[in-house]
Amino acid sequence: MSDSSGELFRFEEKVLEKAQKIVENEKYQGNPLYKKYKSLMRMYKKLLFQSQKILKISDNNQEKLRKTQQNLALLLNNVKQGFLTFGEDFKISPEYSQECKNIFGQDIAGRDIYELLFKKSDSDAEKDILNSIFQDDQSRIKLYLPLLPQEIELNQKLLKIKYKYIEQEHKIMCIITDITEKRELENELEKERKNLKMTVTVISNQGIVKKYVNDYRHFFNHIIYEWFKEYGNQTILENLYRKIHTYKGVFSQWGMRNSSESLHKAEDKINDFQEENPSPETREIKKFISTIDFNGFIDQDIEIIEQILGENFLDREKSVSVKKDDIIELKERIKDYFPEGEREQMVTKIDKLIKKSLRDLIDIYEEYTFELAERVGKKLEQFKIESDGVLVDENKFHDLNKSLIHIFRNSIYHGIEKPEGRLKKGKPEGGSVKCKIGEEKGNIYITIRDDGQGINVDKIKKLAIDKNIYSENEIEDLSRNEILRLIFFDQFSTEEEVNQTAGRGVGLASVKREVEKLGGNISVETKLDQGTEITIIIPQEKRVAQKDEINMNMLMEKLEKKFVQYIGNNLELEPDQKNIQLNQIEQLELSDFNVITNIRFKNLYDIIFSVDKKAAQILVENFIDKHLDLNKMDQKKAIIRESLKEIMNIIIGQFFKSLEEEEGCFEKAPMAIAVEGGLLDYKNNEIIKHKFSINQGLVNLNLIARN
Amino acid sequence: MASAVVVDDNFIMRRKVKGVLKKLGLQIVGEAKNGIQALEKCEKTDPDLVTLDIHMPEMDGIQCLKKLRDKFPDLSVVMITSLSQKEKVLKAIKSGADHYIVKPIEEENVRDVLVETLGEEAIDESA
Repeated sequence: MSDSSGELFRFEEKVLEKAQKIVENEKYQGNPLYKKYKSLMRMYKKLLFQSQKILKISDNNQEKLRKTQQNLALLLNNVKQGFLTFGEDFKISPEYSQECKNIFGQDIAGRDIYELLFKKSDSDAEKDILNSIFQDDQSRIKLYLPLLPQEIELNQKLLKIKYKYIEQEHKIMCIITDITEKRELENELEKERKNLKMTVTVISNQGIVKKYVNDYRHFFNHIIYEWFKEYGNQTILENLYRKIHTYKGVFSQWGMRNSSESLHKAEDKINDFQEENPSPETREIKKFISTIDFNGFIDQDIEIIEQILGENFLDREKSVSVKKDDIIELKERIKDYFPEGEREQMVTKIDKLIKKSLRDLIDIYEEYTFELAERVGKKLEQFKIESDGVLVDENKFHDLNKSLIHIFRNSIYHGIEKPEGRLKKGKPEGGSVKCKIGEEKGNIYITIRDDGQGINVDKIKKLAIDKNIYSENEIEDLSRNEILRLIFFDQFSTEEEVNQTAGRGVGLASVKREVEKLGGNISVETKLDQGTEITIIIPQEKRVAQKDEINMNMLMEKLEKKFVQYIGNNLELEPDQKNIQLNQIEQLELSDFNVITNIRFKNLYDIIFSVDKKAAQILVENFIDKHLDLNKMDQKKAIIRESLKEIMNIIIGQFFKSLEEEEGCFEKAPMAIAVEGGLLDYKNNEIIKHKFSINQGLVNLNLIARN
Repeated sequence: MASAVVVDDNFIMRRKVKGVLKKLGLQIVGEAKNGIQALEKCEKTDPDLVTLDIHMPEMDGIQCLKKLRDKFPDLSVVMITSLSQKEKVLKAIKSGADHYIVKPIEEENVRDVLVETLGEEAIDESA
């Protein structure tokens, strides 16, 4: 820089040198112009200095700029993104970033951007867009950029492209990212997520899934061939199409996407076949059907399920027995693949449904019982549980199991005698508590017996009279069993003091309550000095007939159609389908507003339409008057309830009209309730649940089979 | 307050667009379901902005756009479109559309488009 300025100002410097010599020369000092000359020389010198300074600064800045550009280029070259620019001539500028070389595998300077990136796409749209961009006003160029392809496939690579208009250079910059690997990874991840989701859904609905899978196989292996005896050729294809369509819908509800995709293709095949063969012969149809591998369609999904849940999971007759390890692994995988929030939901779902051995649940009392015996100075020789592998839903049995503590407590406190007492009676010194668990005719049995002193029936009688539960006369009319049953009653004994004298009864009422909650029964048998045995019987879940499931699917399909139609056409709203669920419930959670209807179509069903405040408001406003502001009205809640009832009435009315075979009818008129956090109790009823969102509000349409 | 006319042959879409525009503080001074109606409405109400569905029966969105451009040179016209209609969008931009909103209609996108066409001060989300 200094040399460049030296070079640049050589002439000026020579002039200055000469002038300086003149000033220094004494012979000129007397000259009348000397002073003026000297001052001019100084000014010239100053000016020259300033000029050199300015040049230096500018040089410095250029150097800085060059360095910045170098750094920038270094940065861009090391980023895993390709940067390139092109201008009005569509030629790529030479200063593209290093990554572009990797992406395109060649030097791209000067190449035509259209040829390089967009030529492969099937339309000329890109050419049009490119040509238009630079013809329009500069300020409008960015309008065009979103029209250019955001993702392209090139040389088996998937490229994501962002475009930016660089105003200073009047050029367009492309920022290109190779997302091939990322996309493959995402796809893998998505696949795994879908598989896990499917598995969880299948566990949650296993009864129905098993039935459908078995039905499906049975149908395509046997029933279809019997159809040929019953139906005409044309009807067979139509019925087959319908059947496939039903299975497709059902499997896709459970996330069995490979199955439903294959079935979808089969539908297309049937359509094609019908078009090509307007009146096919039986032989041709048979041949056509035999070319479709229906059994294979569901194999892929089943394989995935069995990989996770163990082989033959779907073949098992009885309810779940998935290996513990498989479940633990499944949960771990869910943790890996799902974000928080979603993850917990799925894990709870599994936990809820995974049945536990009842024996394991009761096992926790062993230690407690031994400890208690020691504490009260008694000896327990044996605590034994016999079980033939009964599995239960832990959640369902949780409360009952907790209450069982009272039975074990009573056995130790009041049943088993002190060691000396036992010896006197000729019994072994240590007592025993035995628990037997079994399953029979759809019931679960739990018997707990001790070999203690038994219950003194006379003492119970006396206590009942003392407590004014029965009079002396009344007591005489009761059978021995009826008297024994008194130990399960609340009034009979709830206080510790009374219990001590009564011998039995602490908390047994609470056991009875829990048993009854599960629809079961509790009884007691006792023999003086030989022991007491308490038996609990709990019915297992009921299964709904399979016919009903198909019926329900069809009903829901029609109901949902009418629902969407009405909300769309008459209320001018767009319900957005969120999800469908098909399973069994014990309780239905209500929303802010609910319309409950009971209808009859072959069977009895509840239709429950639950909407939250947001959805209720918009539905009702659109139902009454679009310009209505509900918030300004009195009795807002009552208006909403009445309107929702009316809406439901109309929808169900139209739904009845759409039923073909048989007539549907209201069993009870719709009833609307506004609650917060209400629950409806069911007993493992089949439910199809459709969730919609309307203007950010939530709407649930539930169809529930009454048992 | 900026005023707007919403043009779309589908009432659901009209409702949606109207809802979002209102939320962003615009005054809806009219709506129309085809190009002819749109011209009439604009004549009557002289709005600041027209949203125009790119695909409509009778008078297509682009034809309507051209007519609006001729008659009301300072009117802001925003097309409503889906990205699958790229060619039409291109045609619309070339025919002088000020901007376009890609379906589904989302408040944030509409907001951005309005800021770019009418300016930040046209928006009043407190309304």
